[in-house]
Amino acid sequence: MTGHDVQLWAYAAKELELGDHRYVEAHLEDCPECTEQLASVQVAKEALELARDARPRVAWAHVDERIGAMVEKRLAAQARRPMFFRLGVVGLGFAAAAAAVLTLAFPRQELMPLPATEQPAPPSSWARVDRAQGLTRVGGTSSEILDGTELRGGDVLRTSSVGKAYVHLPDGSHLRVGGASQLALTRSEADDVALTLERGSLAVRASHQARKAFVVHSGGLSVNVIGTVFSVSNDAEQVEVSVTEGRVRVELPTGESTFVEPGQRLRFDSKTQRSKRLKLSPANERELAEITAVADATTSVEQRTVVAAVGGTPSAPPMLTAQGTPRSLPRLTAVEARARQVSPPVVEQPKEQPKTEVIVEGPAEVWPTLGGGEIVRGVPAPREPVSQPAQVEVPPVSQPTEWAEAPKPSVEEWAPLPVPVAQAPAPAAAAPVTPSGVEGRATTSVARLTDESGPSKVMAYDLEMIFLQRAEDSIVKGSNCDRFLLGLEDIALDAERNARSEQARVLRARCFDTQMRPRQAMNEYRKYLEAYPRGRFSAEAHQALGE
Amino acid sequence: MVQPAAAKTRESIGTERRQPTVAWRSALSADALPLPRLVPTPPPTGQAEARLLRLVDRIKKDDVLAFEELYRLTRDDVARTLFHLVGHRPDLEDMIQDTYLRLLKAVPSFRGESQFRTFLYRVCANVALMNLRWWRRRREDPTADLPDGIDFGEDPERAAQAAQASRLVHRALEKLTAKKRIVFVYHELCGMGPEEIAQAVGVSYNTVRSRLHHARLEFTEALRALTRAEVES
Repeated sequence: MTGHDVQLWAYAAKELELGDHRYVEAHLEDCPECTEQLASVQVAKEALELARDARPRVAWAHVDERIGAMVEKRLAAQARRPMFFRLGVVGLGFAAAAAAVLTLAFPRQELMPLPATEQPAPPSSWARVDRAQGLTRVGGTSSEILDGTELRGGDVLRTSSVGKAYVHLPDGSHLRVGGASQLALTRSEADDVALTLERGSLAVRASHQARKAFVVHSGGLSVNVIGTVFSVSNDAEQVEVSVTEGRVRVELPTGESTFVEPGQRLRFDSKTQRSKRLKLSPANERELAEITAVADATTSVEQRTVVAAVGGTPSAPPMLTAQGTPRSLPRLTAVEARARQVSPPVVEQPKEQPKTEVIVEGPAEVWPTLGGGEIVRGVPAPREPVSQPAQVEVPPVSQPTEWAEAPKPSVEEWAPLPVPVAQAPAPAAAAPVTPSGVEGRATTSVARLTDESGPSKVMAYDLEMIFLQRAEDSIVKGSNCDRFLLGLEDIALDAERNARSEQARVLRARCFDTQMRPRQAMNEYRKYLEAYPRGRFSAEAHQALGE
Repeated sequence: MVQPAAAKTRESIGTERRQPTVAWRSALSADALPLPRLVPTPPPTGQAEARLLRLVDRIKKDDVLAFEELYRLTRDDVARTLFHLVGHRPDLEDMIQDTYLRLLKAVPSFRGESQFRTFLYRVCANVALMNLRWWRRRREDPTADLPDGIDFGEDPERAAQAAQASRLVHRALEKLTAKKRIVFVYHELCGMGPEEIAQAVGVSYNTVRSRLHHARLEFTEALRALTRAEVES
């Protein structure tokens, strides 16, 4: 070492000022030791220059998935919660992570069907849009959000001045977003809801489901909810909280906390920081009656079609209940949502079986829709049908909300014989296999269970098509398609040789092919050719088999 | 009376030793370690920085989508930075995840006193420091039996040279202590100036200069030794 190294490095990088540069230059002429050292520095700099271009190859799909899951857990756990809550959620997060590790390590175990009683339905973190008019997502595309679009925590919705929309939350609550409103779904979990109303109006029918919190923030106010029908409106100057059922606790920006009772309206003036209690206005009553009607109608339909068929959480969207955790699913694209909306859910009801019709327990003009926007045909009925007095004794199957009157018709649908209703088999007991987290199992269970009922069959068909589409997407993207294999096999083994089972067989072959398992892939192609010698994919199969 | 540095430099031209002058000037002048001319990663434009800051504001309000967008915008930079800091390791993906987990926790404390990019590099530096220490404790060679996971560009000839150079550089960097290595890599491979490094590492400007000085000496020596050993073998 010569002691001139800093200058030599800077000299080699041409970083020196002119005077210093000349000094080093002159020095180098007389100092062979420094000249040799300079050569080493130049070699080092050249090596660094070359190494600078190196880029690591990262499996981004895998990393994206891990970080997405991590962010959801983290954001669900943090913010405005007491410390014991945070610790609890972090613990749950670790438990979930450990479960995920076990699942990855022992994938076969996951495929084993467990007894129905040991499998709680995975809580869905997806909310659904319903009857949207002029609704857009802030930060997303400018196109309007379609009915059936699934939302999740973090989405910010905006309605036009003449628009409105209904949102069904995973915890069984229902929202009505008024015109010229902006609403952020800060957290939208089955057990934790936080909403932020930036402006406009929001009517809520909150379910009584056990959860950590249901809070609406607006203009500095925090409205804490238990099981209630209420609305919040926020213009630039004042925030109003109106309640028709239950009661809410409102935390004011001044630090005070107050309760708002049914029939009351609390107005908080942002300028004067004063609050005032008023009676409900007719507009409030109309708005709250509307959300109540929609909530009743939607809950009723969901319980009859989803709970009875699948046995999952009634408030969960049907597709998610059937296909496992939402984390494992890609989000619905607008195209897919549109496709689902126009898919043919037309149910031809035989005239001699009127019991399969879904009764809408709400105003005649309200027509419930399911997650995909399928319109379920029904007839408006009085709130207390005279023809169902005996069914009052039916124990509730699984009630997401205390006002839900849905279990009665679900029993009606599942027990067509005129047996005493109290002895009718419960849907969960009737199902031999409750869907697990494995998508394939869930889907085919739905298909088998709902074979007898028209609407459910259509739904199962729809689910299978979505399942096949997702499997194909997964294979095309090159992501792990293992989780689809079992379900594809079930569909492929369907007794009816139809297009779906044909496609499922080919998808299995393709999946094995992408996983570099040629023996299994060729085996699948052979099976395909045996079953469908002149099928759509026979050319592909022949090519793969080298024939 | 202390004379100006430039005058002293001119006077000392032609003399054999001038360390006292250099040491005095280096301690006080920010020009002693000017920015390197080669900047591999372009500095963020005002628009990009403003976009990141807007996302940070949304993340502070628990906006999941904002964090996802931030991740999309920065993930390549983070992966490249971590790769330069620690070299080719089998746990690079774990480090990326750890970086974003720490970032998520740290974002609420970000007050905008530095550029967000610098803040991000600070998180990367902490993750890299932990990783380097972890591997040192295990006394194992983290680069043993690694799959081919580095992209050196499309030109095959240059890619071959880059692969050899990269291997030598990272082996030479293994000879440096973790703290010196981080400063050296940020300056020589990531193109950051000493002031920004001082913010990213959380030390003073002069500490950065000192670490960089020693790191340059050690790196040159280590690389020379490695090259000589390769030639002899």
